[in-house]
Amino acid sequence: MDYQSAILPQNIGFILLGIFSVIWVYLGVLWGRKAKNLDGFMVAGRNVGLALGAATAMATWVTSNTTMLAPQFALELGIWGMLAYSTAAFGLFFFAPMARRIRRLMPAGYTSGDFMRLRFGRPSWVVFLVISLFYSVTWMISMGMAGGLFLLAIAGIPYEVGMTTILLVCVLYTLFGGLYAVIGTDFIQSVLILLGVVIVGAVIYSKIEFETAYATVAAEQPALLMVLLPAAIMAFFNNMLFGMGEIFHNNVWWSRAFAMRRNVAGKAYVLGGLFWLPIPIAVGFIALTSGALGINVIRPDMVGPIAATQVLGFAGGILVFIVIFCSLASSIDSLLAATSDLITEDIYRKGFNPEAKESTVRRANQIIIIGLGFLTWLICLPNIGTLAVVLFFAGPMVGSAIWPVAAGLFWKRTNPLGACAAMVLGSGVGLVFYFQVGWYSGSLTGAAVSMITVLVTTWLAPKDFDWKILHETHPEMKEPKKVNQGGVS
Amino acid sequence: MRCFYYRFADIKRSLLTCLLLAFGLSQMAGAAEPARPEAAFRTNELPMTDGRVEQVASHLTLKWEAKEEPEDDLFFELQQAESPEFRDPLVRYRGPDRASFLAGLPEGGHFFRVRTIDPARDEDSPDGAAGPWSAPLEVVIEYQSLAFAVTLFGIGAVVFLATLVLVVAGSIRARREEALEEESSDTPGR
Repeated sequence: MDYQSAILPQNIGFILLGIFSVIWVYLGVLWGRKAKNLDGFMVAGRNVGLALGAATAMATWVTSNTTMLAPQFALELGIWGMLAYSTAAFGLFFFAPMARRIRRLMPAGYTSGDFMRLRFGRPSWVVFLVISLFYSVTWMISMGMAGGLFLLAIAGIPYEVGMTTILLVCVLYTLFGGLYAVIGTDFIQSVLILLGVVIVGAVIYSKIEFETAYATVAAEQPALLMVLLPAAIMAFFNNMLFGMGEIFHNNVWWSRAFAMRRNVAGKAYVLGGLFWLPIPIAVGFIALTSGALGINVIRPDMVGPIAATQVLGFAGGILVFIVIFCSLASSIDSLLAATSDLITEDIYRKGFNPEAKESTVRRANQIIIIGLGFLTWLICLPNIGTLAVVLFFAGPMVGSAIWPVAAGLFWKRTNPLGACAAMVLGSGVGLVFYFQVGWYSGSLTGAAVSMITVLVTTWLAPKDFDWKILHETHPEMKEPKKVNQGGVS
Repeated sequence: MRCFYYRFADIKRSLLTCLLLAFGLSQMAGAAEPARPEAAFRTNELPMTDGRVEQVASHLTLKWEAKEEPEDDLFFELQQAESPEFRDPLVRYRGPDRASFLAGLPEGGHFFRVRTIDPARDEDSPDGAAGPWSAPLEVVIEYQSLAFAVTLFGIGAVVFLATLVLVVAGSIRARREEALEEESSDTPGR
């Protein structure tokens, strides 16, 4: 080991983990009582208001990457890197009008897969599902591994124990509570995350003069202040388009759009983006002050927790524990819920059991949540370090979905086969660039190739679409009415 | 007889001198500190080419170890300089850690060296208790092409702007169409 031992005593770590686990599972059971039917379980009754909507958008987008990878970006790419990471907020901003449109076009929709199937047909649907499931599962795995590694680093909790506990807690409260529990806990988590980041950032700012921090960086890490650092310039739009692709295509965001009230979705995503935007900047600032604080950074992703402990002591360690636990849980539960919805609706119901009633579909959904959690746990268990990097392969793939999704929502004449080709070509070319040129080019080239394909095919062979086709309802899922023994109901 | 007496006195004097010398040397030996072990960089994870690190990134994680591990905790000192002679070195780290993530390195050549130190000695005192310096590690940084970076930035900007136009213009047109639909559904049938 290269040292920098655990920040919190192990027994404190276990106590905190235990407390939060019990609270979250209890909340899941409590809120699960509201989910009386499938709509309640999968899309929270389609009645989520602005406060909860904005909170869930912000909390879901704050992952452990935001609190641990953003500081790493700042240390590796400097000021530009910090700003490049924060451009992921544009995904939320751009999705705001799209969420409103989705809610309008698909009042009874459940998944992003529903949209792709109805809008573009089966070939595009299949390609889209491959991209979406690959991304969702690798994201879940990266979060599971990050949880185990984080608990090991901060409190010396064995990796297997920490990883298993976080996954188990998220599976349990998602299983009991569905999207109600996910969104409800997101609200609490978003408040805790914001409070934690503001407190740590404010204390560090009060202890270090800005001039001192700047002078230290200028003297010892001058490249971090470079405006023309090539790596940072390349990462800027690549990171933005990666974020946009993640949000545009993934059912995590579509399920929230379906869950929110009709006139709330757009505003909620804008607010969520505005609340999220300062977080990577704040944690990036904390990372840049590490030199002035005299911190020897061994792992750049741990600079935030270490800086917090340095200035706040034991309380800082607890605060960081809470912030990162919340950011992990808020993402894992969203992925579990949304990915299980996608598999249930698009694969189970559409592929295997189209006549399934609501109760059957709900049971299938719950089994799939357990299955996804178990699969994630199994892959996370051996702690293969390079697995976390696999998530970045999804960059070109999700980047290629930006234009098919957006053009499909707003243009009546987008060519369906063109949309399919855009995703295939964009993913292929993007992956080639990812491996041959570098990670900073994958999403960007994937999105660019996809955009050109959609534009050219729509220009050469436009195909009119009737928006009413998207108004799909599910009468076949209604449970048959029971006949009273004394008469007909 | 006198000769014998004088020779015996010489021998006694010599013996006494030797004894005194031996006693003095033993005292000095007891007061001298044990030598600090030598430190060395662990380079197996670094992109080495011809005995030096060559890379495009402005950051680097250096790891080191002591060639021997004594019973007490070891402290290390890491220095950086722009020349192999280490004129005007920058002390990057002093402490018990065995690695350091170095960020924001500018383009060009950088030299690093590491040694074990006695934590009880302050920085200004003679470093006789410190271990020998490791062999210097040369790191050469050459960033990616700025022209290529700007080209990628330009492509990204075009995709971003086109997406912005698509979403904003599409949203405005969609709202107009929805408003017209609502108007026509409110108007009584003609």
